[in-house]
Amino acid sequence: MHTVETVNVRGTNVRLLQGGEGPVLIYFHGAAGGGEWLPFLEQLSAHYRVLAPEHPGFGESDDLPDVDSMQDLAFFYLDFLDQLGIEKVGVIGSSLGGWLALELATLAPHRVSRMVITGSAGIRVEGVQLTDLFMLDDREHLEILFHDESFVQNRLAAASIGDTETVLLQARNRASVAHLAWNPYFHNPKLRQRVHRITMPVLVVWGEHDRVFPLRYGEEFERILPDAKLRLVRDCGHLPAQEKSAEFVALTHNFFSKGVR
Amino acid sequence: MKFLLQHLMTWPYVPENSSYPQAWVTYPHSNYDPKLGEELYETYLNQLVHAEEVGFDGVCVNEHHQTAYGTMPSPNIMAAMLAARTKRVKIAILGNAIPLRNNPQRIAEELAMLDVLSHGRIISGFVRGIGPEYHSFSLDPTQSRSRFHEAHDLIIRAWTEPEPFEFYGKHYKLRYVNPWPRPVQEPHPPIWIPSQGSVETIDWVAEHHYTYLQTYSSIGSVRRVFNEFKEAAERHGYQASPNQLGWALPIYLADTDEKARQEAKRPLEYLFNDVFKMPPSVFFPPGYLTPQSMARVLANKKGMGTSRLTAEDLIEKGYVLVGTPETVRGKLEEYQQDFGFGNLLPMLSFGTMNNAAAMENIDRFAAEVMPYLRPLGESKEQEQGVL
Repeated sequence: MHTVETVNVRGTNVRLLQGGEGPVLIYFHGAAGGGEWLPFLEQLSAHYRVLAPEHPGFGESDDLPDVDSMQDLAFFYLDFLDQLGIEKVGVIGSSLGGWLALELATLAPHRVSRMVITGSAGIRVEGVQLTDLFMLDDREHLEILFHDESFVQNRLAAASIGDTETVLLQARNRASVAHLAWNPYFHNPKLRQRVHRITMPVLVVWGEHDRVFPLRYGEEFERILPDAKLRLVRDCGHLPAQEKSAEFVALTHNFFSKGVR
Repeated sequence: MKFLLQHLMTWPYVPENSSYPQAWVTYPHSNYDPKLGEELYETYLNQLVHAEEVGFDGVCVNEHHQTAYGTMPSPNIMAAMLAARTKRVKIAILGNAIPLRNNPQRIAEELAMLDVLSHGRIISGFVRGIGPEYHSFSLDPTQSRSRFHEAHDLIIRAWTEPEPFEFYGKHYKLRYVNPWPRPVQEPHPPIWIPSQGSVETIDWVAEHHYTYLQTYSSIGSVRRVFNEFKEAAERHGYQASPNQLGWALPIYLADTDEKARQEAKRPLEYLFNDVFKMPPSVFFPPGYLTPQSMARVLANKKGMGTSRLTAEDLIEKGYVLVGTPETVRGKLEEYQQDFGFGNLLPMLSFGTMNNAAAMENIDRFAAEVMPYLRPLGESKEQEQGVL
């Protein structure tokens, strides 16, 4: 069960999916876009009030022309939390959304109770070769996300190929990603000198076979964050919350409810 | 009609059926042989200089990066060579990719230098740079339009305002804009805008009374775009002059239509396929096109770069003109009367064509096509010698 509403944040309309009751969790979606009440969100909403906004520039949310960086977007989400009257929140960020979570937590560590990042962007690890996502075609883009080929097949079957509206929507999402992550490629060089501010407990969840940001990235986050623990998800690609949702829900629920990592 | 010889200075040695996914961005520069490059620059420059000797009104250079398609990453350097080696012809730089420079004031300076060095012979083209260049420069493609417009405004003000000024834009923040030297031509060199025909560009060029240049397109696109330009000019309250419309395309001439087709086949296919090859994600990086243009591209998906075009396709769809001088001038006359352009920019040396064939093509065009078409498309101002 979830509801869909539009929240106006200082003039910018954001589409917000919301479900459940209890302590508040916010999910920051990644580069592929939000707007979908994914199974892991439904499962977490049995224990928490789960918020899943679509970032400005994505899906049915407004453009936000003044956002030029992930830090700008983090400032926007501070206004968003103020608007909803939420003082402190548990954060889950996947991929590009993980980077957003990290920026938010450096700006306002007192607003974040605990944080889960998974397949997260945000830093650069020297010597680890990354595939340039911006050079991939649609199919290659899907293939690199998942370890289990059946996820790729299901997504391909579900995609309404050739539907102009869908294509334009995806094009807008991708343009927003490019605007945030083209250069420097999916990271903020300043983040490393600011991560000492992220003092809350962090759970780093990584797919064993992540080919977007390889496991070395997860290990690096565990190393540089003041209070982080890495949990590896076996037989999994870049999106554990989707490819191994039961395992991901168990890990995050244990962490948010009992502090177990 | 004015005639300007267009050149890409293509690298002609990419092997047929090369296994690389593209001839841009990641095509290894170890494939560039500087020794062959020395000869090539000399050959290509001589072709452009020869164009002046046989009566062309201008010669053109352009900017592309990290590619075998064109070997002039700095068109201003080639323009300087041509300024020294020619006396009369216009030197059209089509164009400087202004968003790619971190300080557009540098372009204002270089073009002013060139205008002074050439005694006022510069035509200044401005372009955004095509998709792969945003990969090559790691430059956010979603900002290409706003950077283009801001850089344009800065350069025009730099050329025309009498006093030093401050410029605080979104992209460029400059405490002192005060370029020395200033251009010879008043108020500044003519501005030509090469484009593939996006609706936004057509409107912007018409609004500014600049010259619109359609490059390498099917005859259907050329017709549509020129008509859209005339409509746009009317929307902005004036009638477009033929001098405001230019058309750039490869042309090849021979004794018979059949011979022309045979000889042009390989050079054309090389140019439009082997060195223009790139994946769609490189040709159209995210945000490079507006949603409006994107819809247009989707509606007409088959095209340059992303799918293979045979010489027969190219000839049939009017991307190129190939045949006897009679055939070619007949078509050009028909098209001129149909859509009223006043500048023709034939590319007469292209792809894998060797120097002897290119020189013959240039001579033939000058002797057997140009004189027949000269009187067409002259605006009143041109007849009076104003432009």
